[in-house]
Amino acid sequence: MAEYVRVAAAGEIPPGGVRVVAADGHRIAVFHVDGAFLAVDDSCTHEYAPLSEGARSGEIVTCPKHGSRFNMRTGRVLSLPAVVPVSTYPVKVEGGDVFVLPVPQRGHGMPHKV
Amino acid sequence: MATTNQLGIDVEKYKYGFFEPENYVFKARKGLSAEVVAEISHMKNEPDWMRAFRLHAYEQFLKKPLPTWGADLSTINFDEIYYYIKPTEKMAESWEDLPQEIKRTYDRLGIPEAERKFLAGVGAQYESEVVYHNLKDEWEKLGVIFLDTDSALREHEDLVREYFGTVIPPEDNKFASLNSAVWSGGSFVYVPAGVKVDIPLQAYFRINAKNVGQFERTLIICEPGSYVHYVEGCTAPIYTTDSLHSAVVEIIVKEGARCRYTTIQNWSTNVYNLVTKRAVAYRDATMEWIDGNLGSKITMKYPSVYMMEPGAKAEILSVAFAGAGQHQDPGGKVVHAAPNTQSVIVSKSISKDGGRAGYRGLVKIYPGATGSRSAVRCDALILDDRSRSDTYPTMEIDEQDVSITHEATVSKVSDEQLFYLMSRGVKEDEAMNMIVRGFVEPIVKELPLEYAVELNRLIALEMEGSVG
Amino acid sequence: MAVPQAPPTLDRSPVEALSERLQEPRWMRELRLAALDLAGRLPVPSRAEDPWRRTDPAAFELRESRLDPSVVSGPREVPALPAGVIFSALPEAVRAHPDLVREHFMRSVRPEESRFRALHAACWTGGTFLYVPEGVEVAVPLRSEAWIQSADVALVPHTLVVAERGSRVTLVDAFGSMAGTWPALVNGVVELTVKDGAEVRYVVRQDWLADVAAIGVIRGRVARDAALHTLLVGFGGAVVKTDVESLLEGPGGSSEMLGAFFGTGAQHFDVHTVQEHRAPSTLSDLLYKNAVRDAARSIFSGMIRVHKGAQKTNAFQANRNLILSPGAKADSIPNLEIMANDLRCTHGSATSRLNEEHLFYLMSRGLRRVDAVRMVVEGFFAELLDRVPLADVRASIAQDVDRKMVQ
Repeated sequence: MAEYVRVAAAGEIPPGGVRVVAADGHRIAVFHVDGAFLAVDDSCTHEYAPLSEGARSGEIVTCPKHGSRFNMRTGRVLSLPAVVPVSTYPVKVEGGDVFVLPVPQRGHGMPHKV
Repeated sequence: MATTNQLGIDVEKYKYGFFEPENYVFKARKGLSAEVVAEISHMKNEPDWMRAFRLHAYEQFLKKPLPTWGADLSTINFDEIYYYIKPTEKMAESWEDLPQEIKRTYDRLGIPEAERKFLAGVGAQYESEVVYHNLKDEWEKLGVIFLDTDSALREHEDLVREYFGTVIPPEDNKFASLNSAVWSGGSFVYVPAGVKVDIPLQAYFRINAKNVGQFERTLIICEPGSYVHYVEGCTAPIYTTDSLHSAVVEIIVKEGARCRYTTIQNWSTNVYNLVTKRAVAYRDATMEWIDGNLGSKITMKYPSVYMMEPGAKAEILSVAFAGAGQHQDPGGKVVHAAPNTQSVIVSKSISKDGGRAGYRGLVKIYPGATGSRSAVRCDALILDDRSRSDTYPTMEIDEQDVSITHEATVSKVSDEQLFYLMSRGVKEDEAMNMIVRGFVEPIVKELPLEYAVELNRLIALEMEGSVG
Repeated sequence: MAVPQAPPTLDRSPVEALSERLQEPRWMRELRLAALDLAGRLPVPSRAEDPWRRTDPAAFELRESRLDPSVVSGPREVPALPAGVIFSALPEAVRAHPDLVREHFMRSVRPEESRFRALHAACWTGGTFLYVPEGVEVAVPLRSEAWIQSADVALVPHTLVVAERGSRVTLVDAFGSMAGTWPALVNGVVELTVKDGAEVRYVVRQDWLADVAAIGVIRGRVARDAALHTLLVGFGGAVVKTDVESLLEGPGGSSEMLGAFFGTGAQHFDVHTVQEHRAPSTLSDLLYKNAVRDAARSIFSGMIRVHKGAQKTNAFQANRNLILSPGAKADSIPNLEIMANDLRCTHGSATSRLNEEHLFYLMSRGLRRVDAVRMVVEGFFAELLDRVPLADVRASIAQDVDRKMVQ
């Protein structure tokens, strides 16, 4: 059974910031969005560019390479050229530290569909 | 943080600061800057989110490199282009009001008769804005929207905002970035659920001023179970300086809907035609691109279909004709992202008088797209020993349960065929013409009648003097 | 944007030591050092550019690997040969036939083409030299080999074949290694010169059983009315990137190009072929078949290029891929660049999975599924192997297929 892995102290990731961790063979980008921490695969499902280097706005992250958009909470694709939702990871905050469970949860949701 | 667009572009970031135009009267000038982009938005009196979209896209344009593959684009001088010209003419109300030189070009192509018989709605792009538009009343009653995209943004802002840039984001490639920054005109088509528009929607585009880049932006939304056939044609007179045409066309085809998009591209042979066209097809939807490229100096255009849900289908038919000084680099992309999706690509290219034509394409099968099938067929005809044909297909297959085929042939007009026709009393030039027509026939027969007539005329025009 | 890593700089000393150990004449040592210098100046390939989009060039950098000329590399045995035929290890030929080697070594494949070619010229560790004089026919197939038996070795083999006018010869080159999970690096070059009216058949059996990263090129130059037949069988290695090129330089020249690759586990095969028609009335006929299983990936990219004036050309290219399990990938990129008009040129690519009906039929005849699958895979390659008139090669390849099937 995989266990939660410490990412950082909550205060170390500023609002709008990101921290990348490698755990259990996954590279995970943990974003700080409006007081919440959201984690996704740090790899665009289109051509594998690191999402941690992409622009963020609210829960939307934009792939720096071709502009695919994803919702960080659900993994939903919001704009092409990506067609596969990005995987998300459970996050918890305990004792002022951010932890991520390195077990990918399949993302869901297509653009143009609610 | 509230965002007022779908794409997570920070509207606040572009709202204030140094982008405000000093002068509220737009001065048409060459070259591009954030100020020019902001002025375009200002002139059009656009909402803040669109202005942010444009300025964001302009930043992307600066960052993106020119493609290093395909045609030679190094001769494009982005500083020598007018990115926006406000037409002095008002929207023309009827055919009679159109400027004489446009009518003359259209006359030669047989458009007036076609209009009387078939044209139901006409949008003609004159310089950078649509000058003339009409739409049959009954469609409006059914809720079909067919407008130039600027008008659509004013009249149906929520619809535009929901879809704009979601198929081709401004970061996609350098020319999509450019279009996103400076777009003007193009068509907006919305077909409500279950509505089948039984007559093709048509728009004629042309460049008619020196160094005017045309950056039209087309967005087509087919709600579930609907059908539409959109026809785009381009004609342009000859100019002495190079001109840039860089359109973006985004299409969304929802469950069970079908969209067909037909282009006959006949830009003058000094135009760089660098276009991004992409459609998404959902469950059991069908997207068809019919793409004829005869004009332009360089065309790079790869209409794409992204099949997102089971049962989606894609068909791409491509004809390219390259004469002296022309490089046609068209093609197509099909992305199979769901099970039981199907695609067919047929490409026919002809090169003569030192021209270069071909096909460039991608078939991509994602893992899990089980039972997908794709067939690609490319045929090329080379009419003399100075001309060139290229075929660059790529197949990326990440799923075992699929069937993918690709075939291509390159050949010359066979002596036997020519001899046969000439022995039946057909003159050599006419025989050549017939063979070429026969070669493109499988695609021409997919066109609406008046376009088929036009394409055949254009090919005859291209073939003039090809037999010495 | 990732900053490309600085290329590992290579010392002159190991190259000088290698040259010393092989007792090379001065010109060869100078050739090596000039190539080493060139390698330092040529750009480090970037993944962002063709031909490296699908394979990481970093896999092929000489880093810790030892340049070891004691690695077995050269003729396996030298049978009785007609007068004038030279068949020897390349280092030996450099000493015994310097003029002949000098005239042909790194002439078809040039050091300046790329960093890896330059590194090959600088660091080649051994290989085979085969020279067949005018009009001489070598009746028996000749065999040479290269074999890796220890970890962290860099094998840099060079096969040089010169067939003079009207001669005929067959060479079977076998590359292999001890089995293991240790790494090794291979950077190979094969130069085949087929002069007017000559006929050369060249077979490569590549079966690295260790985690070998291998880059290489096989380039044949085919003169007037000459014929070259190549067969490349690639079953082993971790990451393999091979270019196979036929340059048809004289009228009436022909090239048959066959390839069979079978990837299992996490193997990665990236094969690029070129059929380059520079003269009229030339023929090329290519068939490459790739089977992939598990998480293996195969990439076939092929180019038919017909130059201006190469009229009456016939060029055919076929790629067939068989995907045997979910997770395996096969890319196919068959390209054409045609600058002549009086020709026949086709390419075809097909990718499919195991045909379940076919399997069911075999199983209904009493075969276990695993055996039925094996039969289908053997059948897939049989079409290709049937075109090779070397019974023992066919038999041993069939054995290799069997071995891969049970892995």
